[in-house]
Amino acid sequence: MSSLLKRIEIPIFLTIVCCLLQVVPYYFYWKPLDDFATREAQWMNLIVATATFIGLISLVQVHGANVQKRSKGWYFSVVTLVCAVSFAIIGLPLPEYGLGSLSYWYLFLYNNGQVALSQAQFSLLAFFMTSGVYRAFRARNLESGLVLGAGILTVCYNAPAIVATYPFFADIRGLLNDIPNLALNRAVTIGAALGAIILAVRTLLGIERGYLRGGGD
Amino acid sequence: MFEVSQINLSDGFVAGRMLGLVGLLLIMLASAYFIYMARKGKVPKIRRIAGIDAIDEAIGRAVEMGRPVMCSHGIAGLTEATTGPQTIAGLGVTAYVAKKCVDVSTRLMIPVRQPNVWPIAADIVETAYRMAGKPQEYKSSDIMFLSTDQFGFTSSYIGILMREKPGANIMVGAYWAESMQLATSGARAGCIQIAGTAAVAQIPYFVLASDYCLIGEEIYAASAYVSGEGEQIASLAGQDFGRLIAVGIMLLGALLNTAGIKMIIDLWRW
Amino acid sequence: MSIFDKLQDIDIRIIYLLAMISVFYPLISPMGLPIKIGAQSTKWYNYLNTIPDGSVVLFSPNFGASSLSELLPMTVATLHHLWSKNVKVVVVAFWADGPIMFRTAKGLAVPESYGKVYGKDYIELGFVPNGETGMNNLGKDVLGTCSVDYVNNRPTRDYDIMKNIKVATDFNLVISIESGTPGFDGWARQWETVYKVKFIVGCVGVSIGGMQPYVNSGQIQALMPGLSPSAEYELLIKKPGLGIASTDAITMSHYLVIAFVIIGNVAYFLSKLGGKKDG
Repeated sequence: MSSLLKRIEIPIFLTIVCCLLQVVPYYFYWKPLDDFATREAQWMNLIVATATFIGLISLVQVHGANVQKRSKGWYFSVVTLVCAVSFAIIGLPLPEYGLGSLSYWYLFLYNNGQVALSQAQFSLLAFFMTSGVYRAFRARNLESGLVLGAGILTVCYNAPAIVATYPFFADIRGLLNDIPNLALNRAVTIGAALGAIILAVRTLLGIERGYLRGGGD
Repeated sequence: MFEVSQINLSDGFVAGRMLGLVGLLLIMLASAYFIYMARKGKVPKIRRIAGIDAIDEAIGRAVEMGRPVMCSHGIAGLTEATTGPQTIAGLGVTAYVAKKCVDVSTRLMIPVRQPNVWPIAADIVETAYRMAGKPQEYKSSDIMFLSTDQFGFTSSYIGILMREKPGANIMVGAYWAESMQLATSGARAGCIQIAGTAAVAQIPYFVLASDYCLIGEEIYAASAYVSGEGEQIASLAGQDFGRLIAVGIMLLGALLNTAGIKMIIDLWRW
Repeated sequence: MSIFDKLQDIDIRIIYLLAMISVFYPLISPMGLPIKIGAQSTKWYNYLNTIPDGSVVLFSPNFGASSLSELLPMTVATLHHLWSKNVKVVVVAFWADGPIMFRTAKGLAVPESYGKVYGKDYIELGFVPNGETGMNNLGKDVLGTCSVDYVNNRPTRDYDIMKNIKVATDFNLVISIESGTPGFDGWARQWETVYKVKFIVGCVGVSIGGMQPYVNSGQIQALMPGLSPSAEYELLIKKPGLGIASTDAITMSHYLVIAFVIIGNVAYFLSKLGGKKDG
């Protein structure tokens, strides 16, 4: 029995059925089928919610081992574990006990911890961009010269004071956005969409197995 | 401008999606035809993709340097229409990288953002070890769930890059604003980097900061390409058929629209 | 190593330090650099201005803490604009952090200060999971998908505002403020194509490339990309706020980038010139 359950055909079959259950109602509306697809999506919520615990286990496994072995920077792992557990408890949907995502402590931690840290990490992008652009925008040959030209124009028309002083940069923005940028984006988007369709075909036919044990049985 | 239309959900085909359905069916049929022909021995030739060819070189370099390999399948889950397929494509590449790393006994680290993808990634790597007859070498702690938060994941990933200094950093999947940070940090850590995504806004950052870049559709071709299986490679010919349809519709639409005929636009509302 | 070679490879710490100063200084000491109101913010403003009285707007904050600094100004300004009009606003997020982001924005654009009443003029329905599938479900059955509200955990159907809101076509407009997926493409596929519901999108600046095709095709009615248009929009609605405060920093950081690019290229050409002379 257990060897039967380990067979790769079962997940492939489930993938095909679940795929069709979502794809068919997108094109063809039939209420019972549509309701079933909605129900299937709700099952997916349950699976994703359950998987959160798997994430927590992995987190404890990695950071717990760090603490146990007193690896380099183990105290950061302690902070991670304490934050994960306390946030999980404070976020429990029990408003009668002062818990939940609208509780004072949850919002306090979120606004002063999560928001601050996330924004700090996101804003690092400015530093990476500045140094990246400085090194990459160099007119070494014709191609890099074109990149430099387009890049400088983009930087100029994104600076509010430059556009206010030299309004023609606004026209350049329109020109670059509406013609080369649009053409490129459409080309890449169409190509990527076609690639995704073919991946779906391979998945539906059961020949794409890379995501299932790397195709191993 | 803000008029309210009546909901049209009577049983039957959904209006506005029929041209898409016809296109989808044509591409699927074409793809199925090429797969059928491949089974008969007629496998179409496809161009080399430098970024995928470089995976072996990157792993080889990591082995020579005695450093681990880092392989990420992106930060998206499996369910979104535009990003789910990218994760599946990334997992296909992960499977290939895992087999190669097991063959040369190199440590493979996989950072994971979505908890529901973790078991799949772990299963892929464990199977690679099992199939190579080295199940005892598999360490589930190397498949690391970092954080569901985008930048919690990013900072943790950057930390690992800086501490472990992997020889190769392979990133194929869906990425957002973290792409530049990850690729730049990988370069600073001295990794050879192969990065690929179909997220249009992030492609320039990967081009800028990595050694090889898979652009858009190339990431979907990757798992077929590395599999070396005729059927999978043949399916890519269906993609070219779809491209022909797209170009045909675009040209026809442009010509007809210029002539004042709105037929193609009306067809999209079919 | 000549000075030109050094200028081509400036220490990354110096670059980071100058980048930090270029952002911090204008924030601490505003410089009052000029701003010109552009086409994108004007289109957004005009579009919202033309909403008829009694319309129902679906407001969807689909972003998290990381993009708060870029998206909060336009969220707050849009809410000010909406509250000033006689429209009903239903708030639904497809990102888990969305409801909290809305509450942060609501703290800066207080609906009650415009005489708006919760449950009658606006309602918060919280987070709908499953991304695009969730959008699809909401379009077909609003009350079934969001059976209780986010604030009081009471049945949604009990609120006045929800009496005539059952399906997607009961909405006149969708406003999606977003920084990723699910987002504009989901609205296009699940709402615009099927129900012809119009939608406008506010996004982080970097996303403009991917969204422009949808603007040109007429699927996205108006686009607000990033901080600069947000600042212009604040001027249009006469509610200067976080966006205006950031524009000097944006300009200064762009000046710095231009300066570094010029230094790098001039040094590159002069070193090449020097190399030729030596040779």
